[in-house]
Formats: sequence, structure tokens, C-alpha cells
Amino acid sequence: MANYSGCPVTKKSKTSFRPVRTYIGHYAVMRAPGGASTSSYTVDSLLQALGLSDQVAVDALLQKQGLEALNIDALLQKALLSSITVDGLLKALGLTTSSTVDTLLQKLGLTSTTIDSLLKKLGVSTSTTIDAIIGAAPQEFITVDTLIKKLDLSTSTTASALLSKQLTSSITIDTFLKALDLSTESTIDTLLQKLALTQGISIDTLLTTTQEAQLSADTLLSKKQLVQAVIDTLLQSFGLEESATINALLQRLNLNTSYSCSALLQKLQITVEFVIDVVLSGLAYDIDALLKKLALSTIWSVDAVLTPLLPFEKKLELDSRAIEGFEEGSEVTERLEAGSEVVEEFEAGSGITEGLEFDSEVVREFELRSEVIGELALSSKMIQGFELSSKMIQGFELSSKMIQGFELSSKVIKELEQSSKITNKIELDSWL
Amino acid sequence: MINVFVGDTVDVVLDVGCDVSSTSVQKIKYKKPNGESGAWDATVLGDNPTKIKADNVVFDRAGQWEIQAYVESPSLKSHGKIVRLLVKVHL
Repeated sequence: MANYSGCPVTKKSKTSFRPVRTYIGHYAVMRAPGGASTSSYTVDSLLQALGLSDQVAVDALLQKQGLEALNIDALLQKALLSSITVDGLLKALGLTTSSTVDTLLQKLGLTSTTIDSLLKKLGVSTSTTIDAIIGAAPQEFITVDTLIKKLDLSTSTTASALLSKQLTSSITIDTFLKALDLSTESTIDTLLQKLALTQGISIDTLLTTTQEAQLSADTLLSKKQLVQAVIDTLLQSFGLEESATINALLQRLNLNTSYSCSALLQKLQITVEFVIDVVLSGLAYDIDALLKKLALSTIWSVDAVLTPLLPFEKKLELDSRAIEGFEEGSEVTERLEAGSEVVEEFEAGSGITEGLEFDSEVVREFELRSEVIGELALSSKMIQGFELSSKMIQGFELSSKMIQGFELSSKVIKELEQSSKITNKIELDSWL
Repeated sequence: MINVFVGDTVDVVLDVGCDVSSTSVQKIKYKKPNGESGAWDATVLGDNPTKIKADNVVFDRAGQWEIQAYVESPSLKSHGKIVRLLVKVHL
């Protein structure tokens, strides 16, 4: 309440006066001396005059003013709808027509909405696949990106993280790729990078991170023989380079993006039980372990992949041919190493016929050499490629020895030419 | 050992093994290392009718040449055995 001890002094009298407080019923009305109301009354005094206390709610005031039928919301709605445009409304919300859906959701307080409630808003259940959600939801309402964000994932989230979000292996490759922000035109290399896979992981790493009990003794032994096998070998077996597109890989596997990841894993000889179930059960494996497992599984399945691709008999045939080729190659080496015999042939002044025969023999052996290398190149796609590669290197070394042999022969010829006489007539037999 | 080098001019004598003095055409056919073929005109040696000779032949390509005697008479056409000659590159 105001302090009346300092009341204004009227011009009529310089003498001090005390205001008279008159009570009418329970209303107190402030009156100036003389009985007339003045504009100098305070709100408090006005409230008192209306029989209201300063604790009385605004509603009571409105009732006093005959506004009982209206509430504040209705009043505001009426005021807004009659005077504000859509632009104005957006502006009032701090939005523009180009604001993103996410922003709108934020403004609507949906940022804390769970995915469940969001799905309910979309009219889909949690058992609906991502594809169905994407297909059912209007594109402008929710994007894959938004959905991934709502799942608390990022576009760089790995597939395993996606799977760990209670999705199953029945998600399509297409979805899988989208989740990785990849397309079928992305390179395998990019996919590997996305999956944080390294190409140098050996089978040893697999064995240390895998419950070996899951593998039989025979399987384990056969896998151990592939210690040096890397994912490059797998790609080679498909005739692909890392720069090949995922699409190319899918074509090699007779898959397209509508196939499930499960189908892909099966094609790569990775069982769902081995990989997906491990993730879903969440037993003893974190995401990194899964990723390693994915990479390594593709490595140790090289043999399994190759076997159906290359008939066993054909593989054996190629092996034996390559070995024969190398054995023949060693004969060439021996022949070249016996360079002194060549020199002796020349020194003996043997006839041109013999010399030519020798030349053609060397040529044949060169042909043989290229044949061997061709076989090796063909065979290098096989498991034994690494072993054969080293033999190829030996073969090239032998080739260089052959070249040395030719250089030696040339030197001998030059020496012979220096000691020869000028020929101005040649006589040969050409019997009729 | 016969040494013939690219660009050398030589007389080529072929022993055909029989008297060909009665033939009307004598040639020495050739095939170069690059596959080109042709024939040089030849004559029967006066002192030895079993040989024919092509004068001033130039071997213009290095490598293995094939040469062959050819004679022709009104009653026969006959080729000799093919012989090979290695033409070398000079210094």
C-alpha cells in the first residue's frame, strides 16, 4: 500500500491535512478532502475501490469486466488469426519458409521425441523396416539423414552400429549403403575405408579375435595356411581392383542392392550366425571387433570362394603346368649357364646352319618362357599366387640371365667378325 | 662361316646340282626377314653349268634371308632347295 505520509498538498491550502478513509461495506474508497475522486489515485487504491486485493487474479478482473466468456487463449487466437499472415506466424516462431524440418521439429519441441513417438507420428511401428519408413514417410517430412540422426547415428556410422540399433540383417544392401553414405558407384576401397577395414589384417588376427571353438580343427588348419592372404586376394579372385565400384562387386556376386545384407554375407561365405548374431547378442564383441571380423571373414573365406569358382581339376592342371613351366625354365637357365659351349660352337667355326639352329632353339625357349609367364599370370589369381609370384620373380631373374647369355653370344660374334675376311661372293647349295 | 652384312654387294652363287645350261630362265628367288619376296636374274656359270649366279646383289636388311634357285625351260619349271642366310648388322 502507498505511504500516505507524503501525500500531495493541494494549492488550496498550505496547511497539512490527513486523507479521510471511508469504508463502504468492505470497499475502501480513497477520497480527497471535500468528497470528490481525483486522478492522483494509485492502482492499489483503485483495486481497493473495486473490492479487489492485490492478490486477486487477472481472471477475477476480467470477470469484473464482463469477460467471463472469453479466455486468454481464445482472445489471443482471435487476435492472431484475424491479423497475422502465415509469414507473420513463421516469423513469430522464428522461422522462415526455408527453415529445415529439423528446425521446425525443434520449434515444436520434438527434439526430445523418442524414435518410438516419432514413428507413431508417422503411423509406423517399430517393427517396420527402414525401407518401409522411408517409403511411407513423405520425403519432405523425414529424410534418411534425419532418421539416422533420430536413431542417434551419423551418416558415417558403420553398418554394425546400425545393426546394433536392433535392426536385423534383413536390411537391404541399399539401406546399408545409404547408412554408410555410399552409393553403388562408390569404390570398394571407399567401402573398406568406411568400414575401417585394413587390407593387411592377417588370419592370425582373426584367430586371436575369434572364438576358435567355433571352427573345427580341419577348418582351423586350412585357415592357418592362409596367414598371408589379404583382402586383395579376394578381390583378385573376383577379377576386381579396389577401385572397382561396389556395383561391380555386387554384379560379380550376382546380387543387387535390393538383396539383404544377409544374402551378401552368405555370398561372401560369412554366416549370419557368425557375424550378425554376435552383434545382436552383444556378447564379447564390440563394434570394432565386428568390423575386424567382417574384414577377416572375407579373407579366410577366399578358399571357399575360389573353390566353386575354379574347378579343382582345372586348378590342379594349372598348378602342374606352372610347375612344368618352371622346370623347363630351369633347363633354359642351365643352357644359358653353359654359355661356354656356345662360345665353343662359334669358335669351332661351325656352319651357318648350326648357328641358325641354335638361334631358333633360343627363340623357342624364349617362347617357352613367355608361355610360362603367361601361365603364371593366369595362375597368380589362385591361392598359390603368392608362392608363384616369387617363382615369377625367379623366372624374370632367369630371363635377365638369358639376356646376359645373348650379350655374351653377341660378343663372340663380334670377335669372330673381327677376324673374318671380306666376303664378295657366297656359294650355297640349292639343288634342284 | 659366311659373313654378309647389311648393304654389302656380293655375288650369290647357287649350286643346283645338275647342268642347267639348257634352261632359258635362271633366277634366284629370295624372301627378306620382313617377309618381302622377289627374285634376282641369274646366269649359268660358263665354267660350271651346275651353278647359277646373281651378280651385285645387295642385302638391304639384317636378319635371316631365304634364297632359292629357280630355272625354267620349255619343258620344265624347277625350284632348288631353300637355303637360309643370316645377314648381320655391320659396325
